This record gives sequence, C-alpha cells and structure tokens, in this order.
Amino acid sequence: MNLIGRKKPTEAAVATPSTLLASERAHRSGWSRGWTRFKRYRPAIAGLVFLSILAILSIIPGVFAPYDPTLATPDLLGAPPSWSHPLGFDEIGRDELSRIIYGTRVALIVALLATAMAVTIGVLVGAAAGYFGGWVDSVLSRLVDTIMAFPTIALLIALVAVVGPSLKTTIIVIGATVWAAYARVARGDVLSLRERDFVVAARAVGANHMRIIVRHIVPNIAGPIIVLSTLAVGGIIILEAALSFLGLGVQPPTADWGSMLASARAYIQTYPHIAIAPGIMISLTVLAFNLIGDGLRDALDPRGRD
Amino acid sequence: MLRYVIRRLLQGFIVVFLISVATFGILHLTPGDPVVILIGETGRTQLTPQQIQQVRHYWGLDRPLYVQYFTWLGHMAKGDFGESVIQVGTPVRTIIWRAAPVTFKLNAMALVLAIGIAIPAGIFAGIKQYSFFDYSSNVGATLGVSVPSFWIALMAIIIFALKLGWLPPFGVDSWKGYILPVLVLSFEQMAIITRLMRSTTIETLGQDYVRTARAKGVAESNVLSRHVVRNSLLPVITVIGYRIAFLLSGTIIIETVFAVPGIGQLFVNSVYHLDYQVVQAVVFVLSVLVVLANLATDLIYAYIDPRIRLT
Repeated sequence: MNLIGRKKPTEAAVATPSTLLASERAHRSGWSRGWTRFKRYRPAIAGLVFLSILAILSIIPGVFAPYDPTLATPDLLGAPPSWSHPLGFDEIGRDELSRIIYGTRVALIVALLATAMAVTIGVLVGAAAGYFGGWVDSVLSRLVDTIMAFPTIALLIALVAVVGPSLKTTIIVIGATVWAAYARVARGDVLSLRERDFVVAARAVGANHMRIIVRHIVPNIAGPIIVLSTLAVGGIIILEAALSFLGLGVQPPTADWGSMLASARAYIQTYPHIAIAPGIMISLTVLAFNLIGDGLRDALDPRGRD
Repeated sequence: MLRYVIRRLLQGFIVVFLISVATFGILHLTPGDPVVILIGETGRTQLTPQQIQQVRHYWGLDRPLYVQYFTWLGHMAKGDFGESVIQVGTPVRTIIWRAAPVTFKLNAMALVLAIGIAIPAGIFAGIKQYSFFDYSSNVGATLGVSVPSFWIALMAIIIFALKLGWLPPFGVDSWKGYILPVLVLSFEQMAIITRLMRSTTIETLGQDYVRTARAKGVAESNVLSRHVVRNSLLPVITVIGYRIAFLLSGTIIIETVFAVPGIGQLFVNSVYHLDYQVVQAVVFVLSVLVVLANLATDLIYAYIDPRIRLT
C-alpha cells in the first residue's frame, strides 16, 4: 500500500495495486538495474572517480595549476623536480605539473567530440545499411570495409598533412576515420531487429523509415553502442596523443600530453624526467575509460558477459 | 566454396578500387590548389605564373579530374608511383623498396614474438580461470591496451639505453637495435591476443563436445590438446589476420621513435617534407596490403572451417 501512496491519488484511484506493482517493476528493469550491476564492478567505479577528477581539472584548470602553463623561466630549462615544482620544468622552462593539468582539456575535448562525431556517423550509416538491406547495404558495407582497410594512423596522418594540423582538424579527422567500427556493430544489430514485431507494428501504423530508425531502432541498439564507444574512447585518446607526438596534432604552445612526449623524445638524453608524467596521465585516462567500458559491458550488453 | 571465393575476391576488388579513389581524393579533392600542395606556399611566391603553369602541366593537373584519376590509377597498377618531389628524380617505387625490408623484418619478428607468448599464456589463463596466473595476465592485458606504445618506447630507451647502456637508443645498425622496437611493437598485440585466446578457450571449455570427451573418459591432457586448443585457436588466427592494419599503424610510430629506416619513418618524414607522391603511394600500398591480408585470412578460414562458406 505504501507504493500506491507514492503515486498521485487520481492515478491510484484508477489503477489497481497489482498493475501498479507490475509497472513499477518494469520501470526498474532497464537502466536502473544496469546501474546496480555497474556499481558492483569496483574498477569501473574507480575509473569513474578518476574521470570526474579529470573533468573538474579540465573545466577549471586555473584553480588547480600552480603556475601559468605557457610561462617559460629561461634559467630553469629542464630543471628536475623540486618542492615548489613537483614535476620539474620542461625543455623551455615551463612548469611541467601545470602543463599536465591544462593538457587534460585537450585530451577530453578531442575524446568527447571525436567520439560523438564517430558514433553519429557510424550509427546512422550502420542503421541505414541494416534497415534497408539490398544495394544500400552493399554500397555502405563496402564503404565501411574501405575505411577499415586503412591503417588508422596512416590515414589520419595523410589527412592532417593535407588539411594542416590544429585542434579542429584533429577532432574532425579522428571522427571521420573511426566511425566505421560503429557502423559495423550497428548494422549487425539492426539486421536482427528489422523483422521484430515492434518494427513491423510501427510500419503497419504508417510510420516512415526515418521515424522507425530514429525512434524504434536506434534506442534498441543503444546498449551495445554505448559499451563500444566507451571502450573506444581510450583508443581515440591514444590516437590524439600519437598525432601530437608526431607534431601533427595540437600545435604549441597549447599544453597537450602528446606534444609534451614529443619534446621529451627530442630531449630524452638531457631531460629524461619530462617523459614520465604525460605518459602516466595518458595511460591512466585510457585505463579509466576501458574499466568503465568493461563495467558497462557487464551491465548493459548481455552478450559480452563471461 | 568456389562461390564464396569469387564473392570475396569481388568484394576485395571493389574495396581496392575505393581505396584508390580515396587515396587519390586525399590530395585532389581537399580544399586548396594541388599545385600549392606540391610546391608549397614558398614555392608559389617564388615562381612566376608561367612556371607554376608548367608545374601544373608537368603533373597533369590541368586536365579533367577523372582523366587525372585514371592516368594515376594506370600508373599505380603498373607499380609506377611517380617521382619523389623532394629526392628529385628518384622513383617513389625505389624509395619504398629500399625501406620495405626493415619494416617487414621488424613486424614479422614482433608478430612471431607476440603470438609465441600470447597463445600459450591465453590458453593457460583460460584453463586455470580465476587463478593467480589468470588474474595477472588479465591485469597485464588491460595495461597493455591502455598504455600508449610510444610512451613504452620512450621509457624503454631511458631505462635500457640511457641508464643501463645495454642497447642502442636509436637506429638498427646492429641486431641489438631491433630488440627494443620489436619488444615494444609486440606488446600491444600480445595483450589483445592473450585476452582473446583466454576468452575463446573458456568458451570452448563449456562446449558439449568437451563434456562428451570427458564423459567418455578421454584423459584431460588429450581433451585439452585435441579438443579445446585446436578449436579455440581458429577464431584467434582470424583475428591475427585482421590485426595487420593495427600492426602497420603501430610500426609508423615505433619506427619514428627508434629512428628505424623503414616504411613508417619514410611515411612520417615524407609528411614533414610535404612529399605527397610518397605519402600517397605509402597509404595506397599499406591499405592494399591490409585488404590482401584480410582476404587471405578469410579464404584460409573458409577452407579450414566449412561453417563459414555455407552462410
């Protein structure tokens, strides 16, 4: 009876207690049960906590960074760690810790925007291929095969070389290159949903293709896509760092973990200490996304479970 | 089987065609004048309009796009990748052939090392699920996919070359120079193959035929070697075939870090020097290699496992 008490009185008067209980249970079965399962996987919670810290650092880096990340102190070139500068100075005398903190920004911006772009393109292409089948499927699938055949780094580098490196280029080029994996997964899932009763019913009441895909099909493949995209964010962060490491990503003086490693490589014989922190940050961030992805897979995607 | 082979060959052919269009398009369809891309901004300001026109004519850029494409494709098909803009007069083909053996050696050794360690490790972790070994190989595999290879490379240089002085930090003048790049390059593959080998082994262990074999009294060592390992190796072999693209991605960065004079370093240097003929040729050759490797994997797999070609 307590349950009814939580509902609005008018509704309670209409519904019998048993139907209310059923609806309550049905409501809980989807996302909230997934959250319960997710919480049980402690490494994923650790990942979530770490990413929350990074998110705060990237939104207000100025509050946490002890110094200006672009301010160079010429007489302290490559000075080793000290109490006031826990990570030391880089090759032109900038505070390494402050650059690490500001570098969070680039990593997270590229990760989020490139993922959003890749998921959008991939899901739409994959859903269209799976839903329409026939020649649409053949054309789109060959397109996906083609993108997948390029060694990602080679394609990225070639595109950046022509367009010219910048933060915007980095995001667009990564997004435009990695969407094919989502398309493949989305296509497979849509193929199995296409003939299901709720799609046939939607078609029967006269819904058009666009509405069926966006309202009925895409929500039903959201689980696997969320899992895949979380697991792929790590790869995108590594791609961004790799591009900047080669000098083809974010340009100086912007603080970025990949470009910090690039200068570490150039000065590896004289200032080896500047190579350590950026790599640890990249690894921990990628690890956090991977752990969250593992947790989400256990929680949302029944096929991926051991 | 024949129908499957023909269908797969046809698909592969279409993909190679699309790759050629994309590679051609990277240089020609992007905003900006291809002549400027070829001779650079400084070149454009230094040359007279007539000279620029000559360059345009020399490269055939004054002809319609589709004519340019088919001319280019015809040359590519004959293995003629044009001339390097930087090393003037040297055919791109010669440049690529000079760099190929080093890359091949590096990647072959890395792949053999990765497979040689990952497959036994994965099988053992799968058989002894939840054991200490399983746990630590799982942690190792998770770290292996999370830590960027070029950072491992830097750490390896600092520790083994600069601090301990055991190995050279750059170059492959002696066999010692190969040790670090091969180790680093194999690391990520090792992580992924171990993970996969473990999960397919666990999956195979739960199959009915394994239970049947045990029920009829086959010795456990025979159950494992004849039924479990053989069946769980199959999907792993396919994935190794598909991972060629990732291996080649890795080699581009690792060769650059260790200054290995292979295709990867050639590619990155050509990008720095804006030598687009070489960039285009390398991207094309690498992707066609990937298509061929995938095709070969599919055909071998279909030959070994009849379930594939019947679907």
